[in-house]
Amino acid sequence: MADNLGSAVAEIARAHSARPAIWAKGELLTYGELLEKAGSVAQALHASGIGPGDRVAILSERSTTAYVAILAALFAGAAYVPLNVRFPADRNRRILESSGARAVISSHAQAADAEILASGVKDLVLLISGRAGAATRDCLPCEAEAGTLAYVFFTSGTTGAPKGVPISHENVFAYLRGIRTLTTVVPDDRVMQVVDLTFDLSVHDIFLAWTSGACLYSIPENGTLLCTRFVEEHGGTHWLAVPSAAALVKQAGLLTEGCMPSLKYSFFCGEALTGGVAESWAAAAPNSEVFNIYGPTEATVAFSAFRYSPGNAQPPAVVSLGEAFPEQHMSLFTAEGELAEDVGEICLSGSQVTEGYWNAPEITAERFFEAEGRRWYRTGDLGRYVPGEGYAYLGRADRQVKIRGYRVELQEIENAVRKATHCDLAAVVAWPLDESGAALGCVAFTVGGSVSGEILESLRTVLPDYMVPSSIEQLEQMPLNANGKIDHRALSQSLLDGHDRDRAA
Amino acid sequence: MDSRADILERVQSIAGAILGLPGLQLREESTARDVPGWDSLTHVQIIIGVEQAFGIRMTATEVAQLENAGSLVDVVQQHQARSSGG
Repeated sequence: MADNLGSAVAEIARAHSARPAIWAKGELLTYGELLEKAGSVAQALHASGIGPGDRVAILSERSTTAYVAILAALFAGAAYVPLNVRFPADRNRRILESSGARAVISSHAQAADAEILASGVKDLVLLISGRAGAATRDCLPCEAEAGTLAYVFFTSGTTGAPKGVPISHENVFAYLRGIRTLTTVVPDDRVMQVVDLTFDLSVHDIFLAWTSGACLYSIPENGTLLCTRFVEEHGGTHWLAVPSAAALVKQAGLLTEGCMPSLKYSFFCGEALTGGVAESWAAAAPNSEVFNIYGPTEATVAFSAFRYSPGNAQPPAVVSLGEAFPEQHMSLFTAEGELAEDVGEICLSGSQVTEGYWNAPEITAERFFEAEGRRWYRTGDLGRYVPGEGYAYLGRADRQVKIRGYRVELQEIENAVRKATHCDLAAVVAWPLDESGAALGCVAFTVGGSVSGEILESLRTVLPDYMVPSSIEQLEQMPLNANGKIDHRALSQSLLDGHDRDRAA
Repeated sequence: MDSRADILERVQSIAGAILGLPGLQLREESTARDVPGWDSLTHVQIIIGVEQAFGIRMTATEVAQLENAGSLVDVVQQHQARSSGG
């Protein structure tokens, strides 16, 4: 197989040109059509001087345009930077500037927003889908040199700006080798694409499908809760999503026994998977293997896996993270960088791990270290090793949380609250929490400054909706711990006490 | 086959009941973003409510292509036209 994702997909596409490649919002493209459309857009990128080493941003809802754009960027030799259409414009602009993207590919529906976005950036090429010319025959994807980037994804950062994670073609191929030790994908298969394209679980969906000749089925953004119906109707065989998606479907009473007989492989990633959700999913998909996979964006989609055996009378509270993929290395280290004897921080090393954060040497220095003859990435997740099972997740070492499946640094929200309220002190806690400890939102506390409905609304222009606090409570004094730092646990406890009081009333 | 106005009125009352907004007024162009509380959960509840009220079941493609209240009316009319054979 080629050493470049674009070439690998092109090879498959030529071999399976009549087969379906992507279904999105009712539109179906064959591999031949996908190849032609991506080639056409790639040619337009070339003509605008975009090529190897560049970044190309993509602003599109989840129509075929988005998927074509991803492939087109790769064909041009560039790394793609997906923007989320539901993010405030300000956030997308910061990501765009930080990435140094020289082009934006936009769908027709996002054209107006894309034009506003592009207008603030010098020399940015804007390609509106549907306006590219026809491809000539010889538009072949560029060969990638070692270290060439496939994408740069941005995640919540503690300093207030999203931080970029650059991932190379080699990183992705290493991941595909790893996941293929657990699943096979054949051309007749149908891979469901559930998450946002800004979330790297989508990389699994897209490239697993497209390097196998299988068809990718994109579940629309507003259709997550009807996903079981989508799977059943389209005969989906492969599934990957955050556990929250399954939990929501279960709560809505739509995760019924045997409702997805076509599923063969179900993967969950991105947050703690409870035994309850795993059991319910296994019952809903009786012909499917169920895996819990684990790994941050920095280590390319997922790094370890645990095969769940259903039918437990007493399912575990939280499913194990399992063992690292064969080529990768996972260990527990102390804060001082020594191997931990019992509980430690989960650290990762190997061909799936990013070289470092995008243009952020200080943060990179904080998160990477050398030990045992290897270079390790600190995940910030605490764990313990259980022989026979693998790694058990024990929580975070910092203030990163998952809100509705999305990775969030609470400090980023605090920065935004500080700027908006001009307060003296700001603290944000995840609230409320569901039974697995996953957060459904957050609440802010401030001392000093001013708070109003307008100020809270103004946060919506800088933060994605899942990061906007449901309320801002003004305090006379912030509770402090023994070190004189804000006692976030006391704030969480006060919410819990208030909640219990309300329930008792 | 029901008129668009009749269908829209019924969709409006179904959505109003689910969202807890009894006075809800929907136009054909109304989208989820225009209505408080219309999030992904209530969206599904509204779809299921509409399906039950009109005795239809939407396909994945139809659900995927819903843009606004008018699209819901379209889908109901299409299903009614099919079942009446005309």
